[in-house]
Amino acid sequence: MKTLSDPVKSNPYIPMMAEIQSIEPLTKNEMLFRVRLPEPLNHRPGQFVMAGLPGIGECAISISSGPESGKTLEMVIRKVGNVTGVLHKLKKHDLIGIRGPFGSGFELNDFHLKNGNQETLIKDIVIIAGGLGLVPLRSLIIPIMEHKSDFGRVHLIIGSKTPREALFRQQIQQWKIHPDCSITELVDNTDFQDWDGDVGLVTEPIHKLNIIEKNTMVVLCGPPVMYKFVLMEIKMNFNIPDNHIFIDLERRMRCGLGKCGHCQINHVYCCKEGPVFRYSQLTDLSEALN
Amino acid sequence: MNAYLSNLDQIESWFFNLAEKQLFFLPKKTQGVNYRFEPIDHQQSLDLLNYKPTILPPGKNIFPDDEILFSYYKDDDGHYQFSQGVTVNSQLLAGVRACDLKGVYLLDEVFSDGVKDSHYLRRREKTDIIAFNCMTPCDDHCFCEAAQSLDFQMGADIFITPLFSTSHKGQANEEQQCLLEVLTPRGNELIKSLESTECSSPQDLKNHAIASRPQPFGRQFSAPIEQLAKAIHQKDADSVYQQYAEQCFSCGTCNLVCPTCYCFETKDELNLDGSSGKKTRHWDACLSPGFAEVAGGHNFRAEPAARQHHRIRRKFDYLPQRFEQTFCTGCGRCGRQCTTGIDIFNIVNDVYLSVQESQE
Amino acid sequence: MKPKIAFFDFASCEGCQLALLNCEDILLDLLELVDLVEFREAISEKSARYDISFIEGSIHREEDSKRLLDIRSRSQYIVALGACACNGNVQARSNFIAPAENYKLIYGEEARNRVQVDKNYWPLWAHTRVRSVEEIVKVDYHLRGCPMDANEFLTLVKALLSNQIPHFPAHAVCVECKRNANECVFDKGMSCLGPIAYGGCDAVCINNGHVCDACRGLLPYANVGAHNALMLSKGISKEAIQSRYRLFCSAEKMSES
Ligand SMILES: Cc1cc2nc3c(=O)[nH]c(=O)nc-3n(C[C@H](O)[C@H](O)[C@H](O)COP(=O)(O)OP(=O)(O)OC[C@H]3O[C@@H](n4cnc5c(N)ncnc54)[C@H](O)[C@@H]3O)c2cc1C
Ligand code: SF4
Ligand code: SF4
Ligand code: SF4
Ligand code: SF4
Ligand code: SF4
Ligand code: FES
Repeated sequence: MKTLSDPVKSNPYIPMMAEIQSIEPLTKNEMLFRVRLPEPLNHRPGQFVMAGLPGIGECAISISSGPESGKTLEMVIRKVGNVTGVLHKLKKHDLIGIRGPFGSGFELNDFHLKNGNQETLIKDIVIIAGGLGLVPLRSLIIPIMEHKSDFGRVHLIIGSKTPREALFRQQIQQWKIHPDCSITELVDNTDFQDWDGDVGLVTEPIHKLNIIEKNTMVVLCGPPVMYKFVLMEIKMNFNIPDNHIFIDLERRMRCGLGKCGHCQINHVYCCKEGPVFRYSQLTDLSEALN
Repeated sequence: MNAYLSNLDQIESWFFNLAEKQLFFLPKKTQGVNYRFEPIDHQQSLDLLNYKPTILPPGKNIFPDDEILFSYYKDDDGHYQFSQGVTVNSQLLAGVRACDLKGVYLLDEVFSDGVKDSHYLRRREKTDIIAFNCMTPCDDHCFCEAAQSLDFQMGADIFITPLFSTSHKGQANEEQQCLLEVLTPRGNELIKSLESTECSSPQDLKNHAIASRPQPFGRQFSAPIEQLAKAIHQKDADSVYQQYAEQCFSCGTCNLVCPTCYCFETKDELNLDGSSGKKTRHWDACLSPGFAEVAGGHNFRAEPAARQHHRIRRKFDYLPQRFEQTFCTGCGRCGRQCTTGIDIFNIVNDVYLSVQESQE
Repeated sequence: MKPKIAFFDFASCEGCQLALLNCEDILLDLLELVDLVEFREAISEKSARYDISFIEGSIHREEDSKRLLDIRSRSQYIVALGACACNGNVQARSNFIAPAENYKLIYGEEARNRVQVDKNYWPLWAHTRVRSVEEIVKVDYHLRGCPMDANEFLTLVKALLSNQIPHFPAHAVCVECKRNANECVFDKGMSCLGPIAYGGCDAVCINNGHVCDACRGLLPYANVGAHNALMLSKGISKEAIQSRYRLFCSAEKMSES
């Protein structure tokens, strides 16, 4: 067995401490944290970190910034319980513990209009986000928008419960000016508020998508209940191969290292092989979409 | 590596000798009918031949409950200072059975796979193992031969095989010859203080001893383990899991006593000063209802049957897909210690039979 | 400002407060961080509002439940302290017996007959149901056990002081029993309620050679049917099993089984 060097450095459970640069409330329960890391994360879109505070705890939080963000990391944290509650009380310049990046994430290459030897062509990218699902997918949308000419047409379908819960609306406006980029924003109901988008579920615009089926990539992220219906709608209307559909899943996570066992979905670890899976990987995982 | 011959008497005094130099754990009888790995004491009779598997497997000495993952304090400038936690002392585990040795070997695989778990590996580096082969099934719960862990010797520094029948409890005497195979350089160091003669034909002696063991050895499944694993993989056999779940308390005992269960929960603790604390980890159990529950209350395995299904497939299907070894060593602990008598041996057998039936 | 903490006692043996006073070392540090505004009658100052109110004891009389409602209305958090407050404890066994019968058991048949006809005693019969705190007001946190566990007390206070949500995992006593490498008492010919009882006590009774009687109450998912079958299979009589179940968990769902 290999001898381990410096104990503290080789300890995968010790976080690096990052300084909070800004905290911006997005909705009643969600805040955008922009933190400065001691060293760049070098993450792929769709990966996540374990964020928290020593002595308090940590939880899995998606990386919301693009892969070229260097030492800056953006996260959107929803206050739901203990750790997220404590994080919401932090202020500018406070320190926050970060471990990661973890998980598979997306390969941007899979989405390119053409790869090196022009074999695969992805002409359409469909991204469907429900609620907080936009947060991890933003790390994929940002690099696509920044290098738009390398990518084909982009179709975004973004759903929220009410206008009050809609995230990143300003940034979405900016995305809209890119060529070949159609964005549908929906709310389940307007709840008596101003709303310039559509009203309905994210499943509703799917059949109207104008795409070249075998050259399409689909990406889904949202609450567990969303997947079944969205997948049904896609399957009913289009013939997209299962390995062209990506799904971002959530599980209880404690280590992020494929050790603690909490995030296991049949034989895969959501923290290691996931949280982003190709639908073709999930077909023999009976626990994946329950 | 080399092999030696020695008798139980000599081995006993060797153990006491070694125990003076390092922390030395050996199975010791409890007040009741069980055994526990405990620091050796001089009044103790060494029950190496007939002891039944200990309440907790010896691998737990390398993967202890309440392990400190790190401790920290905030210095005057508000910076966090981290430290590893505790210093690890060297230890020797003696009398480890083949099934439990395989348990340790599997933990070695798991904790060095991908990101290395420095806490486990550090302890493992400082752990010596003297294993002891079984000549008779330890009790009616074991199924080590069927689970392919009988005679397992990887990971041991020294592997001892008795060269005589062990079915009758006897006092150690000179005729009770044992074969000691030295498997590592560390083993070579340890064996120096044993009174022994070098053995030139260890394999013949060992084969002979093994051939004289009872056949079959312990409980046997209805089919070879490969077929069982295939059946478990193929079909979810919900009705079988459901049937066992009805008797189950979801108490987690079966997980906690298993040599190949290593799932853990982490716990962060803040000291009263508010600026120092630690993170620890604790053995967890996938049969516990909250194991797969996320914030907001959604539970990915809310039903006891789903949890039992997960446990069985983890041992016989999921982890074998990764590590090419069955993650049940057949030690029988879970069945022995489940208060309501649920035995993994019966579950997997029943799953196999139900899959067979459904295919007919 | 330091959080205001108060202790209130109802029907109990005061063992929980004693258990608390026994851990002097941490208590002194703790007292630096909080403002102890009411400790039974020991401190006279009455504060209008409390951040954390610890309630010890079960609730018997109408005036007790009124007092409890008043405390609730003045407290941010209510913590039920110990088995009496959490589930009624042994005194709630009397709920299984008609009040008059109970009176007879204690004072004899003659006394029972006398008070039944005497109007002055009638109010006695009106408030005889022993209730847990939660049967009257919302309880934020439970510190279970008879007596409560000092470590859990500390965990709770530390969590609340650092703006955290205290968390007590709902697992069986067996979990801690195995973490301590205990020999199961069923192997020693005894019987145990550990598989259906709330852990958190570190299986202290088994560690010390006793059995578990589920003083921390039944787990919400307790498989009582399977446990009953297990006890019967050990040759324990139905009556003995029932009495065992009722010892501590009387106010809970045991009453239905
Ligand atoms: C891959 C991934 C990405 C995610 N991305 C985001 C994101 O970008 N933004 C976001 O807001 N959320 C995200 N989440 C969800 C987020 O991880 C959870 O909301 C978070 O874990 C909640 O933690 P909490 O402590 O605040 O909640 P709690 O409800 O307090 O805790 C969560 C669970 O742990 C248990 N628990 C609580 N305290 C303890 C304790 N002390 N010991 C043991 N168990 C305890 C609870 O019973 C509960 O089941 C993501 C999750 C995953 C898996
Ligand atoms: S030990 Fe038995 S009762 Fe307990 S969780 Fe395991 S199978 Fe269920
Ligand atoms: S599952 Fe049971 S028999 Fe198999 S290794 Fe674990 S405790 Fe032993
Ligand atoms: S299960 Fe097999 S290897 Fe393990 S102690 Fe029993 S007989 Fe020995
Ligand atoms: S002694 Fe009681 S608590 Fe311990 S394992 Fe046995 S049944 Fe469970
Ligand atoms: S072991 Fe059982 S009886 Fe003893 S303190 Fe714990 S819950 Fe109460
Ligand atoms: S979070 Fe621990 S194994 Fe995935």
